[in-house]
Amino acid sequence: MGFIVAKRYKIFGTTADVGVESWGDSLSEAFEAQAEGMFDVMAELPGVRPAEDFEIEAEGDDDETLLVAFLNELLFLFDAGGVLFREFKVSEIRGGRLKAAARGEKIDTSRHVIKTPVKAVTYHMIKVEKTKKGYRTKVVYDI
Amino acid sequence: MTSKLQKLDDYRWLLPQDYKPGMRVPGIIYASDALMENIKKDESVEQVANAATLPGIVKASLAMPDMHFGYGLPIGGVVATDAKKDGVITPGGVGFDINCGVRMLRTNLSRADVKDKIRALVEGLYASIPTGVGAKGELRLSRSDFDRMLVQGARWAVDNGYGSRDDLERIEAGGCIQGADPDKVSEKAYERGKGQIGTLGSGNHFAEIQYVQKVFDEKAGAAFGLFEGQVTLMIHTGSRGFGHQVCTDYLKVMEASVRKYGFSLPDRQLACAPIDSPEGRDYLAAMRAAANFGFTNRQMIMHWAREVFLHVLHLSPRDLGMTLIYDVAHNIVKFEEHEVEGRKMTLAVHRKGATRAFPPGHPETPAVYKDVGQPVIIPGDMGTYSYILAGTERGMAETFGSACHGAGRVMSRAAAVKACRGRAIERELEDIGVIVRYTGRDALKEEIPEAYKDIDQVVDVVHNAGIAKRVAKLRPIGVIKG
Repeated sequence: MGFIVAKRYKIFGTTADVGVESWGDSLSEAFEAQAEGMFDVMAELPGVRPAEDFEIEAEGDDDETLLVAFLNELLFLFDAGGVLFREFKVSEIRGGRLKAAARGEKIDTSRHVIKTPVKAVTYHMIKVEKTKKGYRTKVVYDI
Repeated sequence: MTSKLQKLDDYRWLLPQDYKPGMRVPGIIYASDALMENIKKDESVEQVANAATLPGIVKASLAMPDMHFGYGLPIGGVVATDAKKDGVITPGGVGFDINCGVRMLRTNLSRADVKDKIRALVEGLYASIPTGVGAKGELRLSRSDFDRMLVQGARWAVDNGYGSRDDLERIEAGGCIQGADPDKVSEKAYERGKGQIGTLGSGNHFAEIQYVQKVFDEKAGAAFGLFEGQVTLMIHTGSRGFGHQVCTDYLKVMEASVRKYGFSLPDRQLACAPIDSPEGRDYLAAMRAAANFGFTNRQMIMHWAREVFLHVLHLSPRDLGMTLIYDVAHNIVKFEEHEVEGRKMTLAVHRKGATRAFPPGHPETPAVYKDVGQPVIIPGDMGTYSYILAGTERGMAETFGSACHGAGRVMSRAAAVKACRGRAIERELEDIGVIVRYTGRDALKEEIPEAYKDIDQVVDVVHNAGIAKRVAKLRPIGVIKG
């Protein structure tokens, strides 16, 4: 799980909600960056320790639904299990299936700074595309 | 494109059916000139047109003056489909926060009675009502009790000591939508929901102590138990992670359904299924469970809020007189009888950021309000005002008995946070007489008054168009937020 030196995502605003644009050399990297962006919307990431490991699996009919399914898995662990994630490693994307590892820790409100909790991942303006340099994704979140 | 919008009168705009290919009905937008200028800035007019392509839609795709961009339907959108023929049901017409809604309580108190107690009340509410991320409800239910709650809604809460029987007749649908089926709810929704019963959540949700600044309609005001200067309480929240997960789960089901039934839709978030199909029936059964979760949630929070008032003010329940005026959902789909072009029809009315507003004498308007119409509660934001209105016959005839649901955002969350740079919002609010307690770092900044439309303008349109009538205006004095 590599330390990300430069951010590979950008957070942008819509009228009521928030979106994240991400990029990477590979599809996996672009997915990882999107996940990091989603958690950056929710909390101050530098304060989150990558203490616990979680295995993530997701399925989708195309790259967009696969990305949404991946993010929904993480959001579920956040909302049901109270886990804030900090690091992401997508190890495999093949035939509409994804395998990933994510590291984070349980929310501790005395230590973590919560910014804006995400309610849901939407399909609005969703984009997963190949570019000259690699891959780019765009997701809008319901706040 | 929006140049095709035709102004019908000072408060109504027509989006002709030929605005966009595939529209089955025209669109009608309720707005003033000033509000329309803002509405045109995002894609919400396009979304009114998109909604008009839904199979089985009747009369028109409607939008309220607080409309802004949403997923699928715009926020502020109302769409009715023919439940007896070819109508569809769409999660995009309800939203992620199923049965997000608002309830309002009256008291016997005047502002002067609580003058020195506001901070204590706010602290009490903040301590008693789990708020923000990671806050868990105190209630842990067995799976069978949880399922019973999903089926019975607020009735379950009352049976378990949260509030009284009298509350139920003052909740939309009696606090229980019939036909909820816990078996149609995923394990994930259960996992997200089980720790969140009786929690306020975050975003624009709040519990707010207010006072009645002005009563516009004496008769309806008296029926609602309101008087000028009176202390009231408003609670705005929904079905929490449970409802969000139900919507997320069924968006996936509906994606497959669109292919199965061969629908052609302009927006993926409008994915839908015929009402009378396995997919449609399953979503309805799960959506109703989430709606009942929402009613239960608000019932429990209200119960705790009453206890705080009793305790902090050392009053008897009788002296406090803190009773429920009404509770309305503003993100929901329901089956209702309406008259369309002289014909009685059963419709699936989707209200997404729109409030039911039934007229005097309607069978679903509570008996206590039968002469004045159903209370329509419009939460504003912490720095300005909220309103309570009443349903009208004209609303019933024009908008399937619907009105607006709030002020509506005009500024993105990021822009709002930016606008707060170098400002002490908590202090600014205190200076205008509002004491605030909140958890999320940006919770306050994202919800600053200037991030919203002017609620006075929004309510003026609803009132002047006649689809609901103004009863009273409320001003906040103490707020808790996620």
